Parts: sequence; C-alpha cells; structure tokens
Amino acid sequence: MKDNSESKSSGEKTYCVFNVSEREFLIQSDAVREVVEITRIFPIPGAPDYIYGALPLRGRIIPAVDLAKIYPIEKPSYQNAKLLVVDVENENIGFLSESSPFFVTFDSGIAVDDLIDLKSFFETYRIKGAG
Amino acid sequence: MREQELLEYFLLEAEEHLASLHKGIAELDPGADCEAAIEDVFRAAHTLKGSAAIVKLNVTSAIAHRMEDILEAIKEREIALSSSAIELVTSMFEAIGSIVGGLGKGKAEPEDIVDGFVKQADEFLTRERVSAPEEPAADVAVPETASALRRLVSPVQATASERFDRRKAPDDGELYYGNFIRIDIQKIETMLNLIGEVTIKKNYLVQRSREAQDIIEEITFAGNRLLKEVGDFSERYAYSYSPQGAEKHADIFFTGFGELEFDRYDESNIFSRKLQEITNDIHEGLKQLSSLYENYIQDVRAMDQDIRLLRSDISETRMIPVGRLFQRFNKAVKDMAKAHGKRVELKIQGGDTKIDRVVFERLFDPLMHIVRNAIAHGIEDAEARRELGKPEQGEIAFSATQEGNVIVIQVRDDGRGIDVDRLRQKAIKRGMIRENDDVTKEELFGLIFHAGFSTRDDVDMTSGRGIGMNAVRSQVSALSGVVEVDSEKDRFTVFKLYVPTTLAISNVVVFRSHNAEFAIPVTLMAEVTQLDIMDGLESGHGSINYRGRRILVKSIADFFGSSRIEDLLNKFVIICNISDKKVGIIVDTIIGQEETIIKPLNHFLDGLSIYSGMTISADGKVRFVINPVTLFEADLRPQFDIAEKLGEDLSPTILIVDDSLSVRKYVANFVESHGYRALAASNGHDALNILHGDKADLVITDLEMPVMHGYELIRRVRSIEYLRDTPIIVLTSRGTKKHRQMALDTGADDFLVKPFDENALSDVIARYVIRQA
Repeated sequence: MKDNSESKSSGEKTYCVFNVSEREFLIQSDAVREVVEITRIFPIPGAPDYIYGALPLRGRIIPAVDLAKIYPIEKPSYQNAKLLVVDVENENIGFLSESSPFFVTFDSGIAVDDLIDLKSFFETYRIKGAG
Repeated sequence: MREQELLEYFLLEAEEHLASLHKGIAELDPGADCEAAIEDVFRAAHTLKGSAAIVKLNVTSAIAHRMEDILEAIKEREIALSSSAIELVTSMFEAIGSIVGGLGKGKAEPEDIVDGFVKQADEFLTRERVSAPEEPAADVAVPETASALRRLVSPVQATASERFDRRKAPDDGELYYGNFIRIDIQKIETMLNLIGEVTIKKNYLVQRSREAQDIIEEITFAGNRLLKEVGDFSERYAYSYSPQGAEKHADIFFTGFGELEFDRYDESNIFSRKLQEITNDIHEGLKQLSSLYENYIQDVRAMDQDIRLLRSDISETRMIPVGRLFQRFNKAVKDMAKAHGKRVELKIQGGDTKIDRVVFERLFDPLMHIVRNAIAHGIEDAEARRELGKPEQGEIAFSATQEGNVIVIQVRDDGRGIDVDRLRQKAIKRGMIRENDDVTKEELFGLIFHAGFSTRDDVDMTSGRGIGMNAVRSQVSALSGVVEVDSEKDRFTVFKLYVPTTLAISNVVVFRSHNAEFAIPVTLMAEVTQLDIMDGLESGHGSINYRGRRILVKSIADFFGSSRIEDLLNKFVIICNISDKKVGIIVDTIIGQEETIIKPLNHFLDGLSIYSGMTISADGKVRFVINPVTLFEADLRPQFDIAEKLGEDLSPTILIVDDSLSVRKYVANFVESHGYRALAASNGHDALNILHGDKADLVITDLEMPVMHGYELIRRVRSIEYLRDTPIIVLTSRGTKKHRQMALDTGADDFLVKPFDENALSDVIARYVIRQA
C-alpha cells in the first residue's frame, strides 16, 4: 500500500513526521511549506468529516485534514494542535498534528511505514464534483 | 534559468502574435480585398519568426519563416491569395499554436514536423510562382529546400522584409520602445490581491473608527454632564458665605481680623474648586479629541478615495477589450457551420468594451455553449431559410455594452428561435408546469436552463441535451453574473449575459446561518425581505409569495441536511436572480454589506459546487460564497415523465450512493454483472437529483457523505411521494447497533456493513428488486 519507490540510491531521505493520537505519519519533506499554530479554524458546511475546517493564512484559505477520520485512530486531542501545511498539486492543504512536526532522515534503503503519498492522497480525498 | 526566463517572455509575446495571426487568417478571403489582413498576418509571422529564433525555438521559427515567405509573396502579388494558400497558412498557424501550447506545458518542440512544412511551403511557392502571371521580383530569392536545414541551426537569415520592418518601425514602434512596457500578468494579479487586502483592512478601519466615534460621543456626553453637575455644585460650595457662621476651622491666626475680612475655605470648598479645574481640563481634552477625530476621519476618507483610485487604475491594467474574446469564435463558428453544412457569419459590435481578464477567460466556455447551440439548433439550413424569406447565410452577432459595473454581452442568432407553444407543451409533458398554470413567456424561456431540458429531441456531436444551458447558467452564476434569454419564433434568439466588469473586488452581502458565515455577491441579489407568517412555510424549503408569484425558497440549514425544525419566524429571505427566475435563500441574520475579494475555491474542495469561492473578512473570519444556482439545483430539475422512459432499458436500475469512487465503481460493476442497470451518485444531494430525473428500483447508500449524508437522503426519499416506496439498502462501514437502528428507524429497508459479502449483497438486492417487479 505504501509507496516507497522514490527511495532510490540517493543515500538518505528526509521526511517530516507528525502525529495524530498515538499514530505517526510521514510525508516527503520537500512538500512541507510551513507549520502554523491553529488559532481560529472555521468548519466548512457541506464538507466531509475528514475536513476539519478552513484556516485563513495570510490571505489564503487552507483546508485542514483530520486523519483520525480517515484512519482507524482513537479520538485525538487537538488542544494544542499544529497545522502542517503542504504543497500538493499547486495547492495548499494542511494536516492536523497533535504535537509539533519534526524532520527525520533515514537511509533510503529503509522502507518507511505510514508514508502519505501526497499526490494520491489529494486525488483520493479531494471533494469531487457531481457525476 | 535565464533560458527559462527568456522562454517565458517569448510565450507571453507569442500569445499576442498568435491572436493577431488568428484574427488575420480568419479575415483572409480569396478574391476579396484584404490587404490589411495580409499585412497583419505577414507582420505577426515575421515577428514571431524573429523572437522564436532568439530563444532558439528553431522549429517554430522555421515554420513562421515559411509562413512569412508565403505571405510576402502574396503581398507582393507574386502569387494569388488562393484558398490553398490560406489552407497552408492555416495549417502552419495551427502547428505553431500547438507547439506554443506545448511549450507552455513544458514540452519540447516536435522536431519531426519541420521538414514537412518547409518542403510544402517551398514546393507551394515554386509551383504558384510558375503559374503566376508575373515573373517573381528579382531580389526575392526562391528558398531552396536544402537551405532549410541550415536555417534550423543557424540564426534565421534576414529576409527582404527585415528592411521593410525597420522602415516601418517608427510608426508603431512606441508600442515596444516608447511609453509602454510589458508586465507579467502574475504581477498584476499580485498587486490586485494586495490592493484587495488593503481595501478590506481599510474598510475594517472605517468600521472601527465608527466604533471610536460612538465611544467619543458617549464620553463627551458624560463629560458634559460632569461639567454641568460640577458647575452646579461649585456655585453652591466653591465659596462659603455661610451666614450661619459655624466656623469650625477658625484659626488662631485669624482671630485678630474681623469676620468679613476673609473668605472662608473649608474642605468641601477646596474639593469643589479642584473638581472644577479637573473637569475643565477634561472638557478641554474632549474638545481636542473631537477635533482630532474629525481630522482623522477626513484623512481616512482621503485615503479611502486614493485606494479606490489606485484600485481602479490597477484593475484597469488587467482589462482587455472584449472584442479579443469574440475574435476567438471566428474559427470555431466557421468550423462548426461547415460541420453542420450551414453558412453562418459572425458579427461583432462593441468589441472595445473592456473586461477583466479573469472574467474574459471564464466567459469563454459559456459563450461557446451558446454559439454551438445557435449553430446546431438555432440557424436553419439554407433551404429552410430561403422558404422563410431570410438570407441564406445565417448570422450570429456578438455585442457588448457597459452599464455601470456590469457588462452586458449579447449573443444573437437570426435562426428559428424558440417555439413558446412547443416549450409549454414539453414543460407540461415533463410535469414542470400544469396545463392551466399562468406562466409568462419569460418563465417558459427560463426552462431551457434546466438540466435535461431541450427543445430538440435529437442529440448530436456538439450540443447535447440541454445539459449545456444548465452549465452555462451555473458558470455565469459562479462569475456573479446572470444570463437571460429572449426569442421570437423564426426570427431570433438572444442570450444576454450580465457579468461584473471586474472580479478584483466584489460587493457581497454577508449573512449567518447554520452556525457559519456566508456571503453572496450583490450582483446576484434582488432584495432582502423578512419571512412572513402569512407565507405559511412549514419547513426549511418550499415556496412563498413574492410580488404576486410563487418562488422557491430554501434555508441554508435545510440544504445541509439539518433535520431540526427551524424557527422560521422573523428569518430573512435573500431574493436572488438565477437567470430565469427568482429564488429565496432563508438565512438567520444579515450581517451587512461589504467589499471583499472572492478567492477561488481550493482545488481540494472543488466538488463543493454550492460555493463559488471563499472570502476572508477584515477580522480574519472565513466566509463561504454561495452560488444560488447550485443551491437550488436539486429543486429545479424537471420531474421526467416516467412513461417517456419506458422501453429504453427495462433492466432494473440500482442507484449507488457513496462518496468513495472505488466503492461506487466496485458496487456498480458488481450489480451490472448481475444484470442490473447501475447509476451512481457521490452524495445524498446528487442522489436526489438523479432520482428526480431517473427512476431507480433500488437505492444502495452509504451513511457518511459530504453535502448530504445518508440519513438525510433516506428521510428525503421517504418524504417524496413518488419516491416513497423505493427500497433503500444501507451499505456502510459504521457497523454499530446504534447506526443500524437509526438507519432502519429513518426508513432504510436493510443494512449491510462494509466490507460486504458479495453473496449477501446479491441476496438482498434480489429480495427487494424482485419484490418491486
């Protein structure tokens, strides 16, 4: 299921790690745009439940994804949650993280679990039009 | 990096040259006097050749070079402007167009096509020159095929025209060297966005200063009261003339003086005087504050004025004449007319009217739909036209006029028009109106915007079944615009599009509903009224009386499937124009009107079609911009006459409702393999739309879905009379007893848990579909 094909013979690869409840997720580090404190977030009427809300960020509006509604995860506490904003398909989306995301570097030979392939995530969970 | 930058500049420029080529080529006509057009095409090809060579786009340059050669020969009357010449030039233009399009997407030039064009052009020139009556001028070298490849790698050689070009340059040279510069459109976008943000902040500032004014007024009032009270108090106590002579403070020092030789100061006297002094200071301070505030307000107003000017100036840089949009239809009209075997002429009026580039881009598709319809269904063939006494050649006329902040674009064809009687019959047959309904001509015309409604029964390649018109309305509405139609049988059909001249800043009305803030563009609104108890509305959707007609109304909460019975009394109704008719949106409270930037929806949220965008308020709140057309889409669908559907496909139909594409596909394949017809919808709202148009023998639905969840879908189906008996199976990953009970209570017939057992599903389906049959 998880796609590790990008780990070629380049030696090492860096990932950004964030967590929802006890579960850790990884994304490719070059997609990370910034990490922001969540001060105000606005629910989007009509959006599926895995879209927690919309966060205004310097004139842009970032949809925040709650992975706990996608993966079987215990109810997380988003009390001091951060939003990990990523670039994908010329857009920005954010993932809710219970604690501050951090970077790790692995030998590229190591298979990484729970790596989110952003492109396919975007395509799968994008709200599609009617039809 | 530098090369990439150069390429970007080239692409910027090429777009313009391609546009003039397009326009010029469309005007070329064998036998007609079109020197100006030849000149335009020649110049565009020439410039394109030069700039392509600079960025080492040798293929583009070589093709443009040959195009230039041909045009030059025509210009110098060495060869005739034959239709084969136009054809060749057109094919070259199309090749360059597709190369440039490819470059924009990061593709390289296709090198394999160049030889063909070079050879074709050279052979053509040699052939035509021989057959031309006059000898070619001596100084024009006939290009040799062999040199073509050399030209590919060496810089393009100067042609005779280069000299000509230099001669000509001063005339229009200032376009390039004088007072004009080129700016990347992105830069303008950035500036516009910034100015938008500044406007919002400024509006917030104005709002805050109004609050400040209120505070100042309150303080001033209190200050004045204080002044008066203290004044009164002082009059009584500042000096003590106390005739009672109760001198408590008689000092030993004063004993030698007579009583009347001293003012008596007791503590209250001193306090009173101090109080008066302080009050005077406060009063003085307030006066200064007031005048400071007045100056401040004047400054803010002046700044407001400047920002407005700045904004309109910057917006103007993004404005382009609408005629350029119209020009794009030249070729399309020609091609489509040819495909339909009709003769159609395109006329353009008011092309100088300026329009925002963004509006311009987004108008292309809707206009294309209209033009397609006009050619396919509107304009009759030559024979029919002759019989009606019309000129054989049909006409499509584009025109544009500006009315304040709105641009009105009209597309008029002189074809068969819309047959009102037939439209009425069709609407009756479809169950959209009743036989005796009092329906105006305008309301009938409006019906053509409904999905699945077309006055033509056949379906052809370019224009489908009325689906186009529905899309047109939705797209125009997303642009904060409105589309209207008028027609007279056998004479004309005209579409009028009212769109804002710019989308940089929009005027919106902000309201609250369903615990969120929403906005709706003022251009789409007719007025705001209050819901009347006399309307007799009992749920969140229905119809009310508005100016003597029934109009559909719906509350936002109802749309989102809130099943709570709302307190509808005293709610507000925003009456909106949705092209063919008016509808009312019921909202909780109106917050006010403001200027804002509507940002396009994040692509991650694309499918939320009831929003045409989002905005951020000055104090940082996210608001959702409602598109009233999509909000009411489900209610506006016609109810198909079921009899009409009979005989089409008799196998039982199953509607699969799930927000996961893979589940939809999987279940659809499964039921189809069992001999059923499958329909699919991604949420309850879409499912209802389908059920309104198509009969389903069974519905399989998920529970958790965006827009409208499964429970609500079940509730709605059970409340609609002709759908009430449709069996519903819930297929969900929520397997708890609670969900099961709730689903069954709401009206589901059966409950399956994902991942499901195929046999169980087929058993369940068989049970319900057989029962139906």
